[in-house]
Amino acid sequence: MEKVIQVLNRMQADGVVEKYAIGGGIAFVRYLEPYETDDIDVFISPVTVGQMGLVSLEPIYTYLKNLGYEAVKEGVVVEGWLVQFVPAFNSLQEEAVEKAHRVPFGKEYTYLFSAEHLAAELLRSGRPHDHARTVALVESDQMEMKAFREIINRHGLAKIWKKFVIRFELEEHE
Amino acid sequence: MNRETLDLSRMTVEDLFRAKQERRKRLARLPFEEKIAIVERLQTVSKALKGEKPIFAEFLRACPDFAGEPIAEWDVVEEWYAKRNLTAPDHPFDKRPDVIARTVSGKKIGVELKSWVNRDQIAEARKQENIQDNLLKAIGKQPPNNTQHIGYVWLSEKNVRFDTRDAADFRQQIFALIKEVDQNWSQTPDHEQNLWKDRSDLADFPILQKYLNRVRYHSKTRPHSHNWIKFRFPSPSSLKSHFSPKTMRDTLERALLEHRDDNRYKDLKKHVGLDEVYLLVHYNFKAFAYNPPFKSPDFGFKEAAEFASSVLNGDGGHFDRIFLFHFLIGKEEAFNIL
Repeated sequence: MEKVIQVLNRMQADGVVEKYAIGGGIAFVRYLEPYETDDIDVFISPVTVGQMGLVSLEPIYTYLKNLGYEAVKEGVVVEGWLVQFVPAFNSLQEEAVEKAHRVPFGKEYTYLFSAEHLAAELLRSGRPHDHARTVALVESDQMEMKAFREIINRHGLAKIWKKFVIRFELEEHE
Repeated sequence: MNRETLDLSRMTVEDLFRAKQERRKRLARLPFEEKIAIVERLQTVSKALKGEKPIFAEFLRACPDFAGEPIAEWDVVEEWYAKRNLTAPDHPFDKRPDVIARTVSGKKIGVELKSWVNRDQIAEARKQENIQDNLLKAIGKQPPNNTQHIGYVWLSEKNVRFDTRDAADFRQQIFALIKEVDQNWSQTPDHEQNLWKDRSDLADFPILQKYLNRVRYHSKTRPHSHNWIKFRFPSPSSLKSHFSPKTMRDTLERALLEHRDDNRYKDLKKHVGLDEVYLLVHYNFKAFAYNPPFKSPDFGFKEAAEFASSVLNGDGGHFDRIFLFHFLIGKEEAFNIL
């Protein structure tokens, strides 16, 4: 994965993206046990808007193509990993990128969502496996619950969280 | 978990659940880079072993008590070590047996998977498929059948590798031959009674002679507009008709005896730390697709299992138990043959 990080950092240094942070399964692995995944979710901010006013990943795809990495349906395959670029399209994702942790990896540094932002994003996303990961994070000792509550309040997720706590019988009844 | 310090007879499901939780916590505490290394190992393992996992999963569904008691956990061998972050034994025992399982009482079992297929037949079938594909590619898109007498054409290919430089000549000559046969159709004696004509003398068509044994022309009893030039025995079914079910029984017998006495499994228990080693012989889609059927009217999978059991005659060699598993979707069946 170090080579992927090298590519991401080079892309940032070349000004193709201003800021990036890894979320999704790889960020989850930072806080909990490893599991099989071959994709890397890279959140980017701010978002580039194309001529038609739509979000455009074109500069990223062109840049990577020039480096020899081909785009597939879901993203770009970089050094055997499927890298999916996700434009940060809401305030939570923007903040998650802004406040990402700078983490050493081999000879490089990369940016990963904090456990609290990751849990909030998984809660917002709401797919069944995201919910399972939210529960795992909340039940782990990796979360600062005070910071997490502030995040969900700030980004309008308080109601969803309240229902979530009851549904999954978390010990966090408020 | 140290088994020597545990009273296994008192182990409960909660204990196993707790052990799993402990393992997850231990893995979660590893440095990030080490965890990513595990993810990368899991990716490799997953790609390499996609075939074995579903086979064993289905076997377990068909025969949940194969070990005489329920299974608490299992994985294909590399995953067993990678997921638990355990040090694998030295090579080659790091890759043997295919599956490692632990029963609820803590018994560690290794399962070696062996496919009941005739690999020579598969290789031959694939080779024939390749030859046929190349000849059909040389013919290209088939034009509408505008012949007066020919309904469709059967090709019978030689076992000769196709040289793509012959493609244009092959196409030109096949249509020239068809035209010639069509024009001369009514000159053959009894042409009205004949449903087909064979042409094996292809001396005037050297490229066809190079690649084909014969060409059969079926009379135009009904229209065949699309793909009217084809192979009489499309592989691999052609091979099925050339072998009897006995061939597959011989394959099974050979597989069982060779594996039973294979010294690669002699010290497996000691090197891998297993309590028991089993052999799982499976009949899968590959065998179904490329090999002749093992079945005959009075011989089904149950009879195959009885036959296999008689071959072993109570001697499993290096294996404590041996199973025969019919792994075709919707027809899964497993028998303990030792």
